Amino acid sequence: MLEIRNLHVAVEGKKILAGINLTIQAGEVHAIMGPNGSGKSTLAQVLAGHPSYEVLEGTVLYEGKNLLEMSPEIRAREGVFLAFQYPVEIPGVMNFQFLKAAVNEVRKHRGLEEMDAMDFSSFLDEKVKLVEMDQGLLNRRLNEGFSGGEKKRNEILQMAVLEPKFAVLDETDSGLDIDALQSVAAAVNQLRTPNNAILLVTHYQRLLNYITPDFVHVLFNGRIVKSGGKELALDLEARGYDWIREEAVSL
Amino acid sequence: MSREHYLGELQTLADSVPEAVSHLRKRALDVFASLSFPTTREEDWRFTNVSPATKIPFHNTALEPAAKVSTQDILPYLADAAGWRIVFVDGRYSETLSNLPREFVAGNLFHADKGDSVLQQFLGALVPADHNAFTAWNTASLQDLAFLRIPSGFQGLSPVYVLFVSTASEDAVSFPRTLALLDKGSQATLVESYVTLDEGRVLTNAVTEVVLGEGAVLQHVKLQQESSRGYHIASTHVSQGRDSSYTSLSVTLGSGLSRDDLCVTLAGPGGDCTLNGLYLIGGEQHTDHHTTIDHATPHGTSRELYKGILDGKGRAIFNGRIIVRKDAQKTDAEQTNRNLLLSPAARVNSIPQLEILADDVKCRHGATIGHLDEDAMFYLQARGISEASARRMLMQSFVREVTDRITTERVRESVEHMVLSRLLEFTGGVA
Repeated sequence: MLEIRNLHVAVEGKKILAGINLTIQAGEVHAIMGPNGSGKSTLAQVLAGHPSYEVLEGTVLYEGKNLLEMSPEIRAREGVFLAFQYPVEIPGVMNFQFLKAAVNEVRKHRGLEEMDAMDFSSFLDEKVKLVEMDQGLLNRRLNEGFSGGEKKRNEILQMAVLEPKFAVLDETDSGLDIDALQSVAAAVNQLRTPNNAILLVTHYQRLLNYITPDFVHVLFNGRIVKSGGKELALDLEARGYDWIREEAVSL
Repeated sequence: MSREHYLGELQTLADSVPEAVSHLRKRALDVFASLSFPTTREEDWRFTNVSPATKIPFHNTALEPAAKVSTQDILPYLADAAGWRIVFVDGRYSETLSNLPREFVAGNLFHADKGDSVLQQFLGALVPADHNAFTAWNTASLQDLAFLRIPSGFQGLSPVYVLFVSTASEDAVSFPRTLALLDKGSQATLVESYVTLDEGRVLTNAVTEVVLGEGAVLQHVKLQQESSRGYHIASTHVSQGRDSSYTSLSVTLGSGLSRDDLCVTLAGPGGDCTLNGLYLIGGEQHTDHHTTIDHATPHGTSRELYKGILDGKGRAIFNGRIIVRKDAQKTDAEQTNRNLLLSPAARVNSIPQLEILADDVKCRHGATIGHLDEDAMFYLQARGISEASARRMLMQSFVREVTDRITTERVRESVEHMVLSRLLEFTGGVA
């Protein structure tokens, strides 16, 4: 589904990613872990197409197509989704209207009929239940005054309504208490199918207690320095990142 | 300089007006004869050059045969086809297009007997004789008048539209004039609307006076969507009595060059003044808003929020003056001006002017000039929303902070609609 080859990325002239290689198949869940500043969020943002990130080298193929040539909105319509670490507050836009506009853009792109407010409302109801979000948040301005947990849940709601094929969850666990974390994780697990893939970007292992990854990769200084199964995450939790740092230096 | 041309013409104005009006006219004519039009050498006009306009030999349409305008022509500019409206065509009151609650409102009270003493007392009373040559010119040209008087304690009137329609024949000048008196404890919504039916080079020279009695409440909306080839020079003068509340919204979408002076005096203690403004301009448009809030008495509150979006080579000036007089203790004033530039050629000057002579007051002001937030754009695009739609959503979000403040639903919806259509014309580039 996704094939990243030798990806080098810079932000404001500073190189952050220095040759990422990663292949993700449909049905898989991958976790990217790493210390702060290792480039995790840069990878997430560049896959979604943030204009501030400059690709210096390398390729990303998504379903055989060149992802890096697509604008952010085309990526989204083609089924790429990023759950933001810091969702943006947009004070003049109603959450409901925003969700409806997004879903209809994606539906149009997929050759489906647009939904009217009534149809969308019942479609949305189910999804709101799935992510256990407070219904009242739909009639508020997008993310404005939402708590940290409400913002993250709203991100997962967007994932649920857009039904992406490839979703990147950037630090979705940060700012959530344990109850919220469990319910968000349960929602993500329900959205897993054999046809989609998920990339979890996280600093801590605790999210992986609830969403079990097939592969865990450790990012350090802009490179994947170690890959393994879910046990690798437990290793990192127990031993911290220092041994990775040492191994990486001795490479 | 063709002021002499106008002076001659004004001498010939019809004399069938109440004595109070003809006196007022004569005095204004003397002032107009003695004042020059403002130039950029004057501090208050340094960014706005009206000299090209003063060289054009405008003809006064109120002295010419009336143009034909139908109800169909004006409906797009009204929130409610059946609502109250006073309509003027090319500066002249139109009986057939208007729909007045006659006990409160008149389009022309020059022939009404009872009007005389009211006119003598209030008309021209709030406008300083030397405000500028334009206001003197307006008063010297007084013909028809939109007049609204809400009697003491009356609160049930639905919104009144004052619509000044210009048929926009080339080089036409008109002199809209509005006087609103709200007696003690009364409440009203007044929408002043300026439109042109064609793209002619016109000059609209408007003056509005508002007097709020004790505890009166007025929501005052001004909509300006005139020809982009035209000039719009307006001044509004408001006097607030004790514990009165004045809320204004000035929306500027049209005109090639517009200048809006809004001067509010909190003449009685405990007044509450809220000034909101929105200017959405592009192409070669230029708009200049000068507001003055004069806290002359204690315990007054003022809140001011002007926001602008500029496309193309649009140019905006916001000059917000707040005066707190020596006796105006416990004044609480706040002023904000925010601007969004869509194109590299757009320019804004934002000038706060605080003159605080009392010592126990709260006064804050802030101004920003920025671009559409890149992270917000990306967030929307990352959900499949196109760049153009994302841009539009963010612009709507920006203006909604102001339009949300219109409490009358019908008026708010019609303003939102008008604003949205203007935003759709913005390209984000240099026109």
